[in-house]
Amino acid sequence: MKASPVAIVPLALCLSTLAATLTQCGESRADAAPGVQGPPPDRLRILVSGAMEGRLEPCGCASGQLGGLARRMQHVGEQRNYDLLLEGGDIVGGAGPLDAMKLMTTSQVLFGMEHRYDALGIGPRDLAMPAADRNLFLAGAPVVASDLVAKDPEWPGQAYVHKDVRGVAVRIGSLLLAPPPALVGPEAEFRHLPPAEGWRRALEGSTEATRRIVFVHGADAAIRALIPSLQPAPDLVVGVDPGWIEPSPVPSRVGKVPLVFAGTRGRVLLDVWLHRDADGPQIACALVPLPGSKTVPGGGGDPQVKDVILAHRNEVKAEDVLAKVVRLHPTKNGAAYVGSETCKTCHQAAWDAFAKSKHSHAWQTLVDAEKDPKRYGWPVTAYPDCVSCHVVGFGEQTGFADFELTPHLAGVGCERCHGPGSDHLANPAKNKLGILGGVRPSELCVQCHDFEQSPTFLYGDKWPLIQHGR
Amino acid sequence: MRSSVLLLLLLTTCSREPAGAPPQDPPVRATPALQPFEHDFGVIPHGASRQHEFAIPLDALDERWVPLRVHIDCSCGHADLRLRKPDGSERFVIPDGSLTNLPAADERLWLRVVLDTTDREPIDLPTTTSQGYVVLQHPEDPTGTARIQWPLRVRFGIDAPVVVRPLATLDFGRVPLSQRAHLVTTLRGDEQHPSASFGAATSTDPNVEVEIVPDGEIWRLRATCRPGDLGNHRAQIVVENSVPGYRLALAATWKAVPDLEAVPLPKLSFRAPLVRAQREDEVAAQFLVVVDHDTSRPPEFAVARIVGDDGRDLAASFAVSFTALPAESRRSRMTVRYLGGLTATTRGSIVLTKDGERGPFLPIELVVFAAKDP
Repeated sequence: MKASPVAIVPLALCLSTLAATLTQCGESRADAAPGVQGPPPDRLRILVSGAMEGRLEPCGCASGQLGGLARRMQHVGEQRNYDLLLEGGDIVGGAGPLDAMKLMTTSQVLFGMEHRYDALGIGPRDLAMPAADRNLFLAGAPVVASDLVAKDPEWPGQAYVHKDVRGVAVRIGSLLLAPPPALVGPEAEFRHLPPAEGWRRALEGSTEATRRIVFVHGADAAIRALIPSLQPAPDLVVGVDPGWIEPSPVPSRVGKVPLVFAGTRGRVLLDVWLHRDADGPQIACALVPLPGSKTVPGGGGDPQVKDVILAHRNEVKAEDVLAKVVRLHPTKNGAAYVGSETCKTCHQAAWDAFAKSKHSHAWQTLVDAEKDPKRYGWPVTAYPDCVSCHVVGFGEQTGFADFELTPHLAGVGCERCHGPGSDHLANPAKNKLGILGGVRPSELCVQCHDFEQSPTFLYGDKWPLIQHGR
Repeated sequence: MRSSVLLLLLLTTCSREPAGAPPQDPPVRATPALQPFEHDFGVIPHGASRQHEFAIPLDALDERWVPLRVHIDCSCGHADLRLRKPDGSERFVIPDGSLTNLPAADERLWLRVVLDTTDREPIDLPTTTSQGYVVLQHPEDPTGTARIQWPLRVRFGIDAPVVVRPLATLDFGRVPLSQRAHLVTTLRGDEQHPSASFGAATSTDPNVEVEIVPDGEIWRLRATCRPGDLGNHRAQIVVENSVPGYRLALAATWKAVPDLEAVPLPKLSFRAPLVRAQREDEVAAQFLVVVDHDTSRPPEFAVARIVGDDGRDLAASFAVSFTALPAESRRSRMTVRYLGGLTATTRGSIVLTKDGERGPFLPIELVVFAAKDP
C-alpha cells in the first residue's frame, strides 16, 4: 500500500479561510513545496461539497459551528482560483414548503451570484421535492442526472455538464444508485437507466483526453462496488453518502480511480487538485472547514449571501411557513398533547426537576435569540428548523402550533420525551407512558442534541441536570 | 459472536440496557463496555499546537474489525489513523475498509489528535469536551451498514494572553468602490499579563491600514479598509506585543462591491397571470432594495429600459416604482408590477440608470413566470 503524506499547512500562508486546517492528502501537492517543479499544466483545482440537507447556515445553537453558504462563498471568493465548483446535491433534507424555499435560496446563491457553481449532481432528496417547485427553482442551474430520463419537458437535468478549463475538456456526470422509488418506473416522472448506460450517456461525444468526473449517490460500499464497472474509468468519483459527515483527508482509490466523499451539511468542504499522468489520474486534496468568528455578528461570511439568507428568513415568516408545517401528522401513540402543567398534578417531583432545567425555558431561549441582533437579528421563533427543538409535539396533530395558540407546549416539556399524555391522563394505570418512540433515552436526546447542535453533549453528563423519576 | 461484539460496542454510546428490553429510566452514567479514548489537553496557550496519540487495541476485540476513519467535533482539531512499526515508519489508514488497513504483525494502530490554535481568533475558550469516534468496519460486511463507532473524548481549553474586544476578527462587510470602511477594536493584556503592551501593526494587504493608539490601560486598533478589486478579500493584521513568544494576528475580511447595488440580488422573479395586469395588492413581495453608495451623486434611480432577452422592448408590460426607505436615505425599494402584454414565461432585464443614457447603469434580471389566474 502506498503511504499517503499528511501534513498540516498553516492557512495564514495562503489567505485561506480563517482557522481552516488544510490537510494534505493523496499524491504530493508538488507545487506547494519550494524547490520542486511547478504544477502540471492540466491540473484542475476543484471545490467539492454535497449533502447540505437544508443547512443554509449554522443554526447558532452551539458556538464553533462550522459551515453555511455565506462562509462557503466567502471562501470561494477569497480563493479566486477554483477551476470547478461542484455540488453533490441533496441540497434539501425534506420535501415540505420550507425545503422548497431553501432550495430556491440555495439555488440563488450557488447558481445566481458571481461565483456560479459548475455542476449540481442532483440527489434523491432534491428529487423528492414536488416536481413543479424543484424544476422551477433549479431552472437554469447546471443540474446533472446522467441516469435519469425525464418525461417532463421542464426538467432542468442534463446527462452531463461539459466544461473547458484552460484547454482541458472536463465532463461531469452524476449517477443515483437508489433514486426515490416513487419517481422512477413506467408511470413515474423518470426512467432510471442502469449505471453503465447512464455513464455512457454522460460521456457521449467526449474523447480519451476528456477528464471524467462523476458524482455517485449511494452508500459508500455500493459506490466502491460500482466503480470498476464504469468504463472508460472516471478520473474522479465524488461519492455522496450521508454516512460521511466530513470528507476524508485521505482519498480512496478503487483500482486506479480516485474516490472522495463530499461530507454532509456543508461544514467541511474538500479542495481537490486533479491531473492525469502516465499512471492515470492523480489527486491531492485538502479539507476546508468553514469556521465562523465568535465576535463578528452572525459569525461572518459573504455579506451579499448573508443578505440573501436574511431575505429567506424573513420570507419564511412573511409566508407563515411555520403554520404550514405544524400539526400535520398523527401522534405516535394516537393520544393528544396536554402540556406539562397537567403532568404536575401527579408528578410534582418530576415537574420540579423540569422547572429548574433549561428545557423549561427552551422557548424563551428562542425569544431571547431573536432579540439579539449580534447573534441573530431575524425571526427565529418563526423558523421551523429552530422551533422544532424548542417545543413539544412539533409537526404532530395537537402539538405545538404557535405561542399564542399553544403556549402550554412551548419549551421542551414532559411530553417531548414521554409522548402525548391524554390517554395516560384518562387512565394512568392502563396507559403508562415511557420514552417516546420506544427508543433509548440517549437516542431521544440526540434528536436535538446532535453532533452539530450540541457538540459537547454527553448523555451521562447531562442526565443529572434533568434527573427525575425512579 | 459478531453480533454480541457489535451489541457490546454499541452500548458504549447508549445505556446499560440490553437490546430488546423496554426503555427504562436512565442511569446517572452509563458504564461503557468499551471505554472511550479520553485525553485532557489542559489549557492550551493561544497560538500553540498540541497533539496526543492513543494506541487502539484492536486485538482486544474478539473479532477482526478494520479501521476506517476518525471523526472529531472540534473546529481546531484534526485526527487521523496511522499504522506504525517499531522502527517508527508508518502508513495511513485509507478509508476504504480493505483488509490492508489491518495492522500487520509488527504494526500497531494509532489515533493521533492534533489541536492547533494558531489560526483561531485570540479568544479564551473555557475547558470543554469535544467528542468524536473511530469508525471500524467488519471485514465481511458487504454493505458498510454494520459499523461501530468507538468513542473519543478530548478536553481542552484555550487561553489567549491578550483580550481583544469587541472584535477579534475585523469584518468590514461590504465596502463599496467609492467608500472606505473603518473599524476599531481594543487590545489589552489579560489578568496574567496585565502589563502587556502593543507596538506597530502591519497588514498583509495594503488595502488595510492599521494604527495602534494607546488609550489609558488599553490600546485602540484603528483599521481603515479600501475596497480594492471587486470581490472577497482576506488579510492578516499582525500586532507587535510584549508577551514573550506570542504572535498576535487578527484576520480582516471584506467584500468590495459596486457602488450601485440591488439587495439581496440583482434579480427579481415572480409568477403572474399573463392575461391581465396585476392588482396593487398582488405585488407586495415583488420588490428589491436598490442603493447608490456613491455620496457624490443623488440617491435616486430611474428606469433606463426594460428589455427581453430576445431584445424586445418590454417597457409597456411593467410599471416600476421607487419608494425611499425611512432612515436609509440612499436606499429605495423598487417595486415591479406586471401590466399585461406577455404571452409566455419571459426573461429579460430592468436597467436602472443614474443619469439617463449616460449612466452608470444597474441591470436587474427579471423573470416572469406564467401563472394561472386564481
